[in-house]
Amino acid sequence: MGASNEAKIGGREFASIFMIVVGMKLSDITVTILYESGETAGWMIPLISLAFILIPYTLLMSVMKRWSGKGLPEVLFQVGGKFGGTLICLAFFAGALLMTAVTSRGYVDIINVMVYQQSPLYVLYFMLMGAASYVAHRGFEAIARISWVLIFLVEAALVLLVAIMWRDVDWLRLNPWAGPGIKEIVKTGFVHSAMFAEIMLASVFIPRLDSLRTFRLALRVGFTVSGLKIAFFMAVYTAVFDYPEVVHIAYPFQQLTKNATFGTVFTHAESFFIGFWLVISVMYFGAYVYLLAYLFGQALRTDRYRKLCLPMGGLAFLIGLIPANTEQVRSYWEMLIYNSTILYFVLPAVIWLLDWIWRRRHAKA
Amino acid sequence: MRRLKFLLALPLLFAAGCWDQLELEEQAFVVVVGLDKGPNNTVEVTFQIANPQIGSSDIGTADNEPPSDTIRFTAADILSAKELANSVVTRTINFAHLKTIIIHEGLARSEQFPHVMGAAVRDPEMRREVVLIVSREKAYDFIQKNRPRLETRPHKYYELMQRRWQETGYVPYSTLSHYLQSQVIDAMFLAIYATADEKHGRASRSADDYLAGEVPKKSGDPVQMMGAAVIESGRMVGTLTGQQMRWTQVLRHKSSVSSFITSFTDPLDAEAMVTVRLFKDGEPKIDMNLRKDPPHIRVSLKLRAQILSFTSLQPYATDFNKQRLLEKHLVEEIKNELTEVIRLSQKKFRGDPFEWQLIARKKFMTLPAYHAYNWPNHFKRAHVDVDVNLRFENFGKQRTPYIETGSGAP
Amino acid sequence: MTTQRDGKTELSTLLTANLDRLKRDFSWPANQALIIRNLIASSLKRAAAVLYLDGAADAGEVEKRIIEPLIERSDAAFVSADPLDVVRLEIVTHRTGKTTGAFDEIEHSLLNGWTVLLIEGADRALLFETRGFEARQVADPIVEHVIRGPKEAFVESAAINRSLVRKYLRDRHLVAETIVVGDRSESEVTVMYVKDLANPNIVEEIKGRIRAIRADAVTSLPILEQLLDKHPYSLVPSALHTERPDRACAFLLEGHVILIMENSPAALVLPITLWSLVHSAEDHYMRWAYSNFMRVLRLLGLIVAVMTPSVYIAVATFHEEMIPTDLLLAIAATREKVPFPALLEVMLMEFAFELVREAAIRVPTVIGPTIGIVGALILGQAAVEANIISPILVVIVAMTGISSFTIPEPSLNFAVRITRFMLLFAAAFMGFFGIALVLSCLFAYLTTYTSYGVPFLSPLTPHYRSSADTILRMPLHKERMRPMNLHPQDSIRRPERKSQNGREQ
Repeated sequence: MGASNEAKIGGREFASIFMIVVGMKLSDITVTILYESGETAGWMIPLISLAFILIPYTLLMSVMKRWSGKGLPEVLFQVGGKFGGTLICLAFFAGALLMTAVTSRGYVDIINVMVYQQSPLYVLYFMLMGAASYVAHRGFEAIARISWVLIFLVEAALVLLVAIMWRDVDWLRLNPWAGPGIKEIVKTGFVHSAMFAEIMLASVFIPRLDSLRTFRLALRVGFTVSGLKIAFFMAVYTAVFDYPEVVHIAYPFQQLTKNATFGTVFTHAESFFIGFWLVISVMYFGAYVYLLAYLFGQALRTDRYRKLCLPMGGLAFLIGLIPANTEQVRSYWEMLIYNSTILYFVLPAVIWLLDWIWRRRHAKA
Repeated sequence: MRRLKFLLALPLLFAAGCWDQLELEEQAFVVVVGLDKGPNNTVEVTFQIANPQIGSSDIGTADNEPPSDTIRFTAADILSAKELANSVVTRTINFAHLKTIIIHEGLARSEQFPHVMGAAVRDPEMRREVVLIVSREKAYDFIQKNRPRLETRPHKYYELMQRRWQETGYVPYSTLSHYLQSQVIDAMFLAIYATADEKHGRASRSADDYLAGEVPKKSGDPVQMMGAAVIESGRMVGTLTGQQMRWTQVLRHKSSVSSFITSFTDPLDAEAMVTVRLFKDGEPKIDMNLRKDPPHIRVSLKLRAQILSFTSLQPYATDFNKQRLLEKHLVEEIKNELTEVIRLSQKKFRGDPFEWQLIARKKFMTLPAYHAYNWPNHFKRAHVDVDVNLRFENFGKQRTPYIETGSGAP
Repeated sequence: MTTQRDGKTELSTLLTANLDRLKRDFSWPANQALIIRNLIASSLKRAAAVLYLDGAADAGEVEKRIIEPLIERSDAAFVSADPLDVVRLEIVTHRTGKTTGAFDEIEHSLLNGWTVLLIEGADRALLFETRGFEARQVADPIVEHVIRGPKEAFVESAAINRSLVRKYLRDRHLVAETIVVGDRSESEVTVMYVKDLANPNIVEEIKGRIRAIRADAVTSLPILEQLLDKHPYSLVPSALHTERPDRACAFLLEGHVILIMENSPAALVLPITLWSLVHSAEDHYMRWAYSNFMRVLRLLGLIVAVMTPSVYIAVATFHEEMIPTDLLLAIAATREKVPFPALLEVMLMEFAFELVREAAIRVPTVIGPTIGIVGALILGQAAVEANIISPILVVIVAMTGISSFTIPEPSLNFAVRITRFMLLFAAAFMGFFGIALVLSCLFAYLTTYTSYGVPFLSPLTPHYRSSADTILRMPLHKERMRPMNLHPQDSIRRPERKSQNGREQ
């Protein structure tokens, strides 16, 4: 058999990709956005969003199940024909591209503000996207395997962080538990469910796994663990910083690491955690760039998408430079999540409809 | 191969040096910052810069240099003062190891204070965990006078004192982070109160009923840290003595002080005092009934005590009747102290230093409901009951004190 | 030259014609190497000639086993009809014997130390294997030392090496195939593998690649390794040299393939993973607790060797808040008098250390220890006193150097040293950001690097079932499976032990 370049990815690696990639959202500005509407109940929102996104996901899965073994683009071309398939593929691609650009810009902002104040933004951005494009160029196997290697270290580092900060955690700060009110919480959860949009983009990679069953299991594990991680950490931020101060802090995760000390000797351990965070960021954006290259390549019905990795990285870089400052980035992010929610609810419905029409047509024949 | 040659040329890039790169010996590490009120809404910022060559190994020592350098600038805020400092100091000012900020009481009481502190926190170099100390005299004088004899380097003093604060409970553990937190939720904030001015020493039998500056001591290092500065809405409004501070810590549901030594009057001898080490036996149970108006709060406290010394030399250890008497007396005394502190914060300070608003928040389902209730208002008028349960753990390693009359068996 | 690759020039039946041809090919009598012994085979009553190369054949064997039986008078009746068969089957007492009719093969055999017997009237020649090249005795390993375990090492004779391997692994499925490489000087490469373990695809690929080599002369294994290498510019090796037969056999038992050549006191193991490079021979000779202790130590040593200088530079120039205040002031104090920036200091010290290392390999053993003392004391101490470097740097560089000595495999050692410099530059450029970027790229590279079809970091990732021996090891009776990343044909090493009441142990 011997491993070739298009080797199958194991379920373990696939799950760890998503545990890392989606779990990263606990360390960026997604969290602050959720606090703004969620207040002290902010920690519940990721769980609610996850519950809401399962609806379009289940719809999509019901279609994918019938085409077992095919990935999302292949199915799109089957049910939508060339025109419909390309259109929907490009729609997903556009959504993912904007997400990548805004997210990567957000991360570079964090690096710029918290760690390297004097380096120019575009240099940091360029280096980050350059490394991410290289990782993407090595292929999906590289991303999957790195995730598997790193997953235990990453989780251990997070556990260590929480253990160090446990003294400052005061769960009473989570009260009043309903924050702005139950209706508000549910509404916010619904509106922000695009947070977990990757669950649908993941179906692009179905053919890379052994079977649809492995895919679904891995996805379930990956997203549940990530959702729980994000919720837990949001609870920890509130418990340590207290609302409303937690909204005033620009980057709660990095701030939390600033409070971390290893005993009385190594008092400022944040660079240790930032190191982990940086390695995972490169992997995160590498995964996204690969996804973009793959989606675009499939939309154009070509198989030579590996070469697209570098241009995709560059494209995300250029788009990401558009917002002028960090607060603009936040507002773009929020806008993007709102609109993406619409996209990711509508598109699976459209796909399901197309599939239904196709089945009717082919059942008659 | 061509690619390889290109790659080999890359290292030349690094010789140029990069944006955030700093050499260690070109940094001036500020260990303490002092803030005083300046004219015209400015602030006088004092920097104490550590001299690395004092206290290092033989290779690095310079004989004639002082252990630290103190300079003062007047500017609009801390960051501008930092820039100004670079016109005088040969190295780049670096806040990476800044752990303490000293604030003059005058500045803390002024309206300027919350603005200065709020502005300072944006700089990523200024950490949220810096400790805030309010000093009785000007911060510049305080820093100048603080030259501990047993510590070579200036930062060591604050580093070691941090642990003492957590052990004794005479002062609260106050950081910039807590200050900002309490400001936004409209709670009371307690800061460390210190002075290097020892003119006010007075002696009292009660060991901790002092404020900074009043501790009766002669010679030794001039700095005293005792008591707390009470800060409300970002400005200082009063002080608490060391003893009051301790009882405040006891009433909090989460405090770093787990045990402390304090003394009470002796029930059987008016001239003598009993010194005990008190342990919190679990956190205080705080029950609130907010439906009533005024609200009814019940605090139940469980304490353990080790009776360490009593100058009356009464046989408390062996005589159970006397023990019970002592127990009742101590419970009474503690209850009085606690009630006193609570009344003080209700009447004089009109704020809640015990972080009981966190427990009040449990009673509401949504934030708007909690805000509508307006806890500080209700706390002022609340009816508080304190219930203390004291248990004697041991009496030290001596069973009976020496009794003069040779009447025989102990 | 007269030797053509595809031309088979046949022997003639005339002895003199054959001899003339051979004398011409070997430039006899100018070239004294060809030794021709004319004789009359008394039993056959024919002229014959025995040829061998001086220095290549074992003269004693030729005399005793070939010439002597031929000259001996005997009146016995022979069974075979063909005179060649008579000689081969009934007269010559040598253990080997094969016939050939091509000059190509005769010359190739002569070069390899075989003896040729030409008989008047026969158009085929007899070849006897009398290889007698000089070689060392089996000695101690030079690079791969162990405290406990065999201390035999391969030598420069392929026959002795094969014999050593067979001594350790007595399995009838252990196969030794020979492939010839090299156009001008033909060398033999022996491919050894266990037939019912190794994956046939891997074996075929390796053999195919060997056959595809086009080179003048492949004289030894290191050259063969480089010719077989698919990623010649990469820092990561795709084959492993081992000088210990026990280690070679351990690899054979996992399903690897080993190559043995004349003139190389080593065996080349293919395909390999990172774990093959990091594990040492001793890991399985010690008990569980001790060998895991050593493994952990070695793993930490590997990390220290790669990361320490870059982490120091990153922390000292970009992230000084990480250092405890006391240490920070101490470092700043000692650095005050040093004129160079931190990066230059580190580069100087590293360079000096690498020089000392290289010198220590080349210096005659008599003054070897002196170099160590000279290097350490004088360089380190004096440089500090002269304020060229700060003392903490001596500690860092020394620690890095010593930990790099814990890496058992020389190829990996070099890879680590070079990576260390890469990381150092990245750290000098952008601190932890640079290190993180380079590390991610490094991970991406390593996880997708394949050595003959086997991913470099397997069986860790991609995940394969394995013998619980990847990073830490289990007690031997629990190491039941073979690492599946090589796709061996038989995956169970040891069946489960059942105790008497049937419970699994």
